[in-house]
Amino acid sequence: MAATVNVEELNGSGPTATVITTGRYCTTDSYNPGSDYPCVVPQSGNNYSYWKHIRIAWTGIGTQISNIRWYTPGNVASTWGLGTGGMLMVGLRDSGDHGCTSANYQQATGVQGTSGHYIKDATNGHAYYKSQSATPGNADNYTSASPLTVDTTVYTANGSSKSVVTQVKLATDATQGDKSNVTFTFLYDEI
Amino acid sequence: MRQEIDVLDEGVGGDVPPITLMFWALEDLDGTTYVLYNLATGERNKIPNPNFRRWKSVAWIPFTDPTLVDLINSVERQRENPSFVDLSNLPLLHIYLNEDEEAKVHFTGKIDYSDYYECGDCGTTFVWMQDELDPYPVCPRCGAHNTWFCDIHGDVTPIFLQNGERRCPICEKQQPPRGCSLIRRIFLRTSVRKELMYCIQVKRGNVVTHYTINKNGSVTVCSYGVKE
Repeated sequence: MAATVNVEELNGSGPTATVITTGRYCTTDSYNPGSDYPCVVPQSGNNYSYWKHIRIAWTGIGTQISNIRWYTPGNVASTWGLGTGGMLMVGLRDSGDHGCTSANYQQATGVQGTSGHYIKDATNGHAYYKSQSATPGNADNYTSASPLTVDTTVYTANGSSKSVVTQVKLATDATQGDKSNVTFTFLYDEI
Repeated sequence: MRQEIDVLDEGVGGDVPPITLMFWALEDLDGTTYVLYNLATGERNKIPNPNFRRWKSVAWIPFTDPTLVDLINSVERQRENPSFVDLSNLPLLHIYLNEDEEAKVHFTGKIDYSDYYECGDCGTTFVWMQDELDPYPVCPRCGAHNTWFCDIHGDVTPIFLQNGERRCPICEKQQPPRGCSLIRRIFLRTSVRKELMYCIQVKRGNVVTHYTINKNGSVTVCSYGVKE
């Protein structure tokens, strides 16, 4: 007996939740940008994708869902050729769950077609993370052996989890073009 | 490296729960037994306690009785959110607890979401890892790939500028420079793969031992310390 669990991306001011079918990091706030608004390799400094809120949502819950974690294969920066210091960044809190609650959702912003705002940007960053002492982490540090703690809430009704907030950071020596395929993973306990 | 994949080859993508292959059974200290499904009616039972507590024994049991599987699935079909079960040759995991041990059972759900490429010409789905022999995604079945097109010179291999601009190499030499259009024949998609694992955690003092059976039948055991 298992719940139906899906991965959702949040967009817009609402936000609107969409089950992931065509997710990609880009320079606009869209769950399906197609080939438009690709990430742009900077001529100096760093460029960023718009940040993304990703979460799981479920129906048909049994007794409870809890202990929600997220991880990467640990080689995203090199697989995507993000350049020196480039990485997939993940929003971190100083303590507790690293996932962003629905109440603290913040729509991604930036210069459309060029760069998103850095999560930690003092002015335009993500309010749930920018005031933390912790800097955004390198998603490559969160693997199956040491996943990111997204949400430790014990859910007893149908609903959704806190969101992992990630964005791509590109350096000047990042490579252009199509990117190799990568798998991200959510884990959760259910009974 | 490129490899064809069947996006839904295990029937676990999309808006459905993964197939359940095992059910939990809990034996209380007084001998009372609790089971995930009512074996006579196929109805689901709630777990009496999802947290650590004393049990005589706890178990995950594979579905090996076709009649029970049919019964449960017939009940599930009536539900708004059905969760189907299937026969399995996964191993039985049955743990008898010592007096100083507590245990809990749970599923661990795993959702992989991956991007992959789909050929717009023949529909083949494949994963691609860039390397020297495969610098860009090419359909492993029909050979289609994305191309760049110059209005004057047709298909070209563009010059990639750091600012994202793609220029025709022939126009670049002859001046004035001219941009290229991408003719996309390979499309990026996202697939979702769901898996259930069957877990027992046994707590003794400050140490928890975690047993997990995955869909392939392998059992992993790990122990870790916890704060009281």
